[in-house]
Amino acid sequence: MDHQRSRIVRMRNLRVSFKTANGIVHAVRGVNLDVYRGETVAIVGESGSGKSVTVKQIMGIRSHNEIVEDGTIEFTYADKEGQPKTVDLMKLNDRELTELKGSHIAMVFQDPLTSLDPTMTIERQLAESLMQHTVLRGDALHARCVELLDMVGITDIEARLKSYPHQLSGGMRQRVVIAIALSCNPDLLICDEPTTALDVTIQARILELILEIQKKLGISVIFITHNLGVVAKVADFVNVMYAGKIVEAGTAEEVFFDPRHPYTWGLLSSMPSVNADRSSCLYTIKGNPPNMLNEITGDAFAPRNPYALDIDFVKEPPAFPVSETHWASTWLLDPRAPHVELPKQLHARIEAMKEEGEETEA
Amino acid sequence: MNDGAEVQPLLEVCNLKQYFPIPGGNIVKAVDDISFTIYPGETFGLVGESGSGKSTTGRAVIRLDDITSGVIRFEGMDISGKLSNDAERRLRSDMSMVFQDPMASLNPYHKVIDTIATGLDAHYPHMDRHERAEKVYRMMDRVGLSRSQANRYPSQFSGGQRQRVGLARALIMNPKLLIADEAISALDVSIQAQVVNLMKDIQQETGTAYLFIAHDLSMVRYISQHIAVMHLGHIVEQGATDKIFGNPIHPYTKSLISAIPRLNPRLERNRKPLVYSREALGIEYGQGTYHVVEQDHSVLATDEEFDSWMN
Repeated sequence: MDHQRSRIVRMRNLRVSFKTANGIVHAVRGVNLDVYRGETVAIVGESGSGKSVTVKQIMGIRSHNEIVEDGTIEFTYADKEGQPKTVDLMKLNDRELTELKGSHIAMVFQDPLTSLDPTMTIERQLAESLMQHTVLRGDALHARCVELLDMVGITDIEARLKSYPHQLSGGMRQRVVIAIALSCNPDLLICDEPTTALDVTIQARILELILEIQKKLGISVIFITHNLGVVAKVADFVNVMYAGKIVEAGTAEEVFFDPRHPYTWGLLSSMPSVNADRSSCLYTIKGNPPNMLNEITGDAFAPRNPYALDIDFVKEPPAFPVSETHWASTWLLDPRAPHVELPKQLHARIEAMKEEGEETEA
Repeated sequence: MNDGAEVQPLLEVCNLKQYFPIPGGNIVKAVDDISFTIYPGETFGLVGESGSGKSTTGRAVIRLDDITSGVIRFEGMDISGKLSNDAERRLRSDMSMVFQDPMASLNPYHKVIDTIATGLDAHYPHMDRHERAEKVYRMMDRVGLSRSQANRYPSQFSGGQRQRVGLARALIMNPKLLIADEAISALDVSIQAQVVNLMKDIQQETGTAYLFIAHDLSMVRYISQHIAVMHLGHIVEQGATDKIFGNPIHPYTKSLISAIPRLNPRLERNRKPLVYSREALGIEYGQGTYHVVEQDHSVLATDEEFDSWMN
């Protein structure tokens, strides 16, 4: 499978800071990210870990106090003649980026009500990006709008096209936002916590929809979330982010069944599972995420890490490869490090998960 | 019905209805004829999607809204109508509430020490300053805040810490019932676990009962002994947590449980959550009555529905 995989995003050493009244906040501290065609890459982390800031660089969405210190984002796409073309998104000017946005890269945000214009009908909002990027007009444009809403599973389309966002339910609005994002057949869809504001039942339906569309259109998806259950559902690859850095990355199976970074252990253990024992205490990661105003020496997770080694407080761990696709940046993987077993509770849980998975496959 | 039948219930809600008139002469039946009982020291989880009336129920219990009809009894005393000043006073220290958004529910101009002492100031205005501070400090220790943070303002805290402040404020009067309205929904996963563990610990220490309102079933399952599932203003199923999760009867409960994403990529990728459509199934909540499934587990259904679901 590796032979045919074509890379569409190659992010290297991205560093972003924010100027604030209290000093400079180092939000993203050297992120590398690869996205391949037709695959879903998830970024998981707590709020403030820099996951949104990272993907917003791809779209060129920056606030006034944001400083991009370093980094390249190479984006490969087929240009108008159908020739593959690679550009560095960080070097494009606004006009060039606008060309790419919508037609090749699209984004879905967390709150569907704030990403839709309350004064415009659904049809006008759908048509907006189509008018910008395609030559469709009139009946053809309308037909495309109908087709899009149909694709995202909205019924009674003609009536919906004439409605305003406030007349739709939360799940419906998010479907419309996804339809707008898909209107110009993007190569890359960025979903920034698309289901966090929705109910569990609606969340399940939206996730199904995203998976289905991805299969049908063969697009790549970057999926940001803090919910590991959602990650398990949608992701081919998982990047675990902590304090502005990716600390562990691998395929979903590798990260869920063979986690190596203590932070990933903590995240996995602290999620209550549906069939876990209720009487025991939930595992928690002690303490709080670091203040990103301060310069971080060593491993940012070290102060909260019960397995921290002395070196964790001094030197930043490099990425240690575990397999071809799996790496983690923790000194525990250094050959000289003492051997640390997975926490017992988590080990038991992973074993149970493996069994459960086999049962359903059989 | 309950195993602790001799124990006097702490809170009884009987046939509670909460209707709101809306412009155009219509009425929203936010809560329509629900009943439940909370016993001292237990956690009662109220789950459902947004708009199901779970927050309205919480607000009605703590008397933020005037209820349309029904009876709410707290320790055997009817608290649903007008109350004497004395009873109202007592009630205010016996019941308290933690809200969803920790930033919006704390006064940004008040120091944390004053926020936490709100209850003390109201009930014991002449309390000695040192005693007041000492009480607040002890509360801060208990919820895991350090004493040195007492003179800070809410903006200087992280989300999880702010929620701890809210919890400390709610607990300082040693309430018998704490209503937690989506108290952990706004927090990160790792912080959620911290707050939930903290609430469990405090409950074991003080015996405070919780009415835990949330839409995250996995967390509710973790903390509650009893669960009521709400949909469109009705409790469609209620009972002991293990029974609800082990043997859900109502199709809505089943769909809610199946919608929780499992933490297992192998399983989750191909799992199709159940879809619930009340219209397609032709369920009218108003026509159903409560049927007992087993001890401590009942479901809202008509006789025919109940028979078909049980088979």
